[in-house]
Order: sequence, then structure tokens, then C-alpha cells
Amino acid sequence: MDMPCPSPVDTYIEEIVQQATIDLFSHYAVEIGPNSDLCAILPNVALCGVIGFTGPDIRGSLMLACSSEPLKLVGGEGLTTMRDWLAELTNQLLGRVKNRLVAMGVDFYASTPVVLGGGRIAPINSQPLGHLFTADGGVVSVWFDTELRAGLELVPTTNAVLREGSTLLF
Amino acid sequence: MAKKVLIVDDSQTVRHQIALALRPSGYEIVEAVDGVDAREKVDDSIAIVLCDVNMPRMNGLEFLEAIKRDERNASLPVVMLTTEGNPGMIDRAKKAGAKGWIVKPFKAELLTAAVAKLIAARR
Repeated sequence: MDMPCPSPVDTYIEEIVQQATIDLFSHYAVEIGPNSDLCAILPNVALCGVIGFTGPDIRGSLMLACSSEPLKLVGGEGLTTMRDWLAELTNQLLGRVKNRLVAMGVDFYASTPVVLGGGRIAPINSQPLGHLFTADGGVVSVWFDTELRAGLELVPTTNAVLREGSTLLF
Repeated sequence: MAKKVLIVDDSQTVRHQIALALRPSGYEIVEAVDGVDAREKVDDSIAIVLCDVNMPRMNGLEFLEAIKRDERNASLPVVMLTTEGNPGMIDRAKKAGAKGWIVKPFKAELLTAAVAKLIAARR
């Protein structure tokens, strides 16, 4: 069966999720880039962080799966446990996506992340959004499953959303 | 005597990263895993609180509003350290008495500078 064509909103969201993932790892000095070779990826995935979210316009789940190499690289000397760190990275990734969507008038609440471990982790009946590799061959993979309100349009808001790394003192 | 910084975050790694950023400046670190834990650790010896927003049991904004209802904490600087950049949440924190808002992932040098500035301003 043919998949329905993605709407402009779907396409926009896919783009910001992929860019948010690249930017997040770049903050920790780990460069990643898109790769669509699914078969090469799944056996290497070690841990998967999952966060659900819901709001008036959007609901769904974000899944961030990683092999151990990029997790260790981004954790650096501050890393405590891989489980804890992937939960936090998943939270930071959803935060980036949320901040971009809030700037377009779409807000939601997120749940507490959970982390799963195992091999060949992948969601069922889901279109993989993007698979990203680190320069040294480690794997980062992201899925963003959403249901959008019918007729949703993204409209830039006038309220400034603070960007990652910003510091605001009152 | 070293100034005490209370770090409130449900991520052990984030607490550790913040501690790594601040310890070279001579701060003593106290850790709490959520708002409930943090309420038990706030006392006169704490110089500043760095607090996540999204946490189980009691979130950071609820914690902030709870401690600011106590007059003894009126001058205690609280900085929210979170992935959220939503202006509505920032306004709520400001009205509740927060002194700052930092969006994760933080930059160590900016965090250290903000902590030093707010502790100095409290004197």
C-alpha cells in the first residue's frame, strides 16, 4: 500500500527534528550526518530513549536510539550512567524540537523519558525519520511519531522563544 | 567559607556536569533529585539554587513557588536550568521570584558567570 504524501507541516517537522538532532550532538562536539542505510544501523543500536508528548495541536512520541560510541563522546567526563545520559539527551532533543514548534504556535507537555536497551530496536509501523551516523561509525537514530490536529497550520508567534545555551537574568 | 550551590535535577549526569563546571570556582555542591528532595535541603546555608523544570514528584516551578512563599527564602536566588524556552513559563518563573533562566544544554562559562553575579548581588 502506498504511503500518503506528507503534508507541508509533516515535512517541516521532519526537517526541524533532523536539524535539532544534528545541532544537539554538535553542541557536544560530535558531528553527525544523515544516512538512510537502515540495515546497517539497527544491529548497532544499544539504547533507546522514549518520551511521549501531548498538546491541543500535536501528540506523539520521540525516540532517540544510539550505539554506545556517540553516547560516550557527548557525555565526556560528566557522564555517569548511559541510561541516565540517554534519558537526558532525549529530553534535550525534545526540548529543541518543542522550542521550534512553540515559536510556530504549537505547544505541548512532555512526559518523563524512559530508556530501553537491546538490539535491533525500531518502532513498528513507523516511518523512520532519519538515521544519523557519527564520524567514527557510531549510530544515532531518531523517530518522531506524531498525530497532528486536522487543519493545523504553523504560524510564527511574536513571543521570542529562548534558544538553547541562552542565559537570561532578571 | 565556600558558598553552597543547590543543584536540583532528576538527571545524575546533569548534576555531575554542573558540579564539574562550578567546583573549580570553589563552590560547595549540594544535590537534590526533584522538588520534594530540594525543599528538604533548602536552608540558610544555601547561596543559590539551580533548578530543572521538568522533574517527577514536584517540578521546578512548583518548587520555586513553594519556597518563595516562605519569607526566609525571599532573597535566595533561584535560576531555572531547563530545556524549555517557552516565554509563558519564563514569565511564570519571573513572577514567582526566579532570578534567571538558562536553556540546556548550558555553556559552563556562562553558568559560572551567572552564579557568581547573582551570589554577589545578594550580599
